[in-house]
Amino acid sequence: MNSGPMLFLGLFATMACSWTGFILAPQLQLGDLTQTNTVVVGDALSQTYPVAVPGVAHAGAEVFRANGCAACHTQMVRPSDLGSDLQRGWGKRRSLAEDYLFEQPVMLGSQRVGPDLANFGRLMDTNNNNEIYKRFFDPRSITPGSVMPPYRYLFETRKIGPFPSTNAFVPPEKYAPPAGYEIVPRPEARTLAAYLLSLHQDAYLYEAPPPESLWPKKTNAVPTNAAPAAAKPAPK
Amino acid sequence: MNPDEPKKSVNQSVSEPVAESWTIPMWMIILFALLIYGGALFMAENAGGFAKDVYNPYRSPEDVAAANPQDPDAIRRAEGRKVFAGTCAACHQDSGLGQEGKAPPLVGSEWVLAEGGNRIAHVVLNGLSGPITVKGKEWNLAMVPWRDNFSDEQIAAVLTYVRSSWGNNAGPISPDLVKTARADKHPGAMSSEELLKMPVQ
Repeated sequence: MNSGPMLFLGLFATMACSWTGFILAPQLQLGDLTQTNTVVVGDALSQTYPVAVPGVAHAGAEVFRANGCAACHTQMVRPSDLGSDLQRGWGKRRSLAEDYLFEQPVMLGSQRVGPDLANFGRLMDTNNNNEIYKRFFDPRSITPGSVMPPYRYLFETRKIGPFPSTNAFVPPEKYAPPAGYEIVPRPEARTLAAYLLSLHQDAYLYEAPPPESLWPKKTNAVPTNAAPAAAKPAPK
Repeated sequence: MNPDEPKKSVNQSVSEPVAESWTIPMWMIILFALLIYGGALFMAENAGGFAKDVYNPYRSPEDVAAANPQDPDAIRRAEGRKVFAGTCAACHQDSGLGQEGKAPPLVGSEWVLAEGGNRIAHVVLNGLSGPITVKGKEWNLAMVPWRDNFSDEQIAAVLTYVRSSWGNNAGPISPDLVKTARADKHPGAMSSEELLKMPVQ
């Protein structure tokens, strides 16, 4: 080998270019992101965004990570000019770097074998964990032909004690437990459900503002409800 | 393999590969130069100056600004609502109707709806004590000063909100007015006689 230094320089330059593009430039551009205030929509108050998720949901994120959910489920709504995510109603706006501010690690995913979960907490529109447990226990009861593996080990079949569990899972009929037994979600299933319900990226920010139809009304428009007569001058 | 070929011993060393010098053809240099040039042009057009708040589908900071709500009064009013809900609503209530023993109403109050905001700006900055007549009714309560708690911008916002909510329909208050009112340092809380001596604007 007669040109070792040249080879080294070539490799070094290649690595340096990719490091600059993938690490240094994004760090300079987005490294100092902090919480911001949401853009005012309608009569709502501006809020701090994002906020850290509660502890149960945080524990659920670890379950999500451990089971490799991100291998098939993305958490990223693409912008309107790069796909049809918004038209499909998977989100009200595209995903932004800010949405992932408190996530460690960020589980963006890269393949959409299953549906996108960026707004799962909003799209589910339920507080009934049983609906979510059904998706873990038997995905095909929700989507016939789904290729998602059933995660039944997140549940436990056990004898009913003196009283039945309040959070027992009611499975689809063909998996009904034998008489005297009940299926109970393990802590993993409960925290994972909490994590999924905590997922939402629907706050309007400056970078992804609300559509014009939601902008605050002009101040000087005369309100319709029982307006007092024109401004009276203060008593002299 | 040719069977006649003499067998090489495994130990017989094979010479190391040698890199020969080779000139990059001119067409390749030109092609890559054009590609880099085109890419740079595209980035300059569409990368939004690498600003961190420019995302697709917007192409420049101006695009993003244009896509956001632009009516400064409406934005000020929204900010005012936040201040009001956090502070003023404790006494004046979310409805602005006030409460017996706590605070007089703001809805339809002649003080709030005055042509200019000079007097209420003084009230919010310095507080108010002593009797005051609001909508024909005598109130005798105390309001604390908010001079040190809020900026001119925030006080202007909350006044704008109060003057344009719950059916109130008076013009916005500018931060400059609050700044002027803050500049004439008033010792202690205002009284209604003092307020009446002040210009409305």
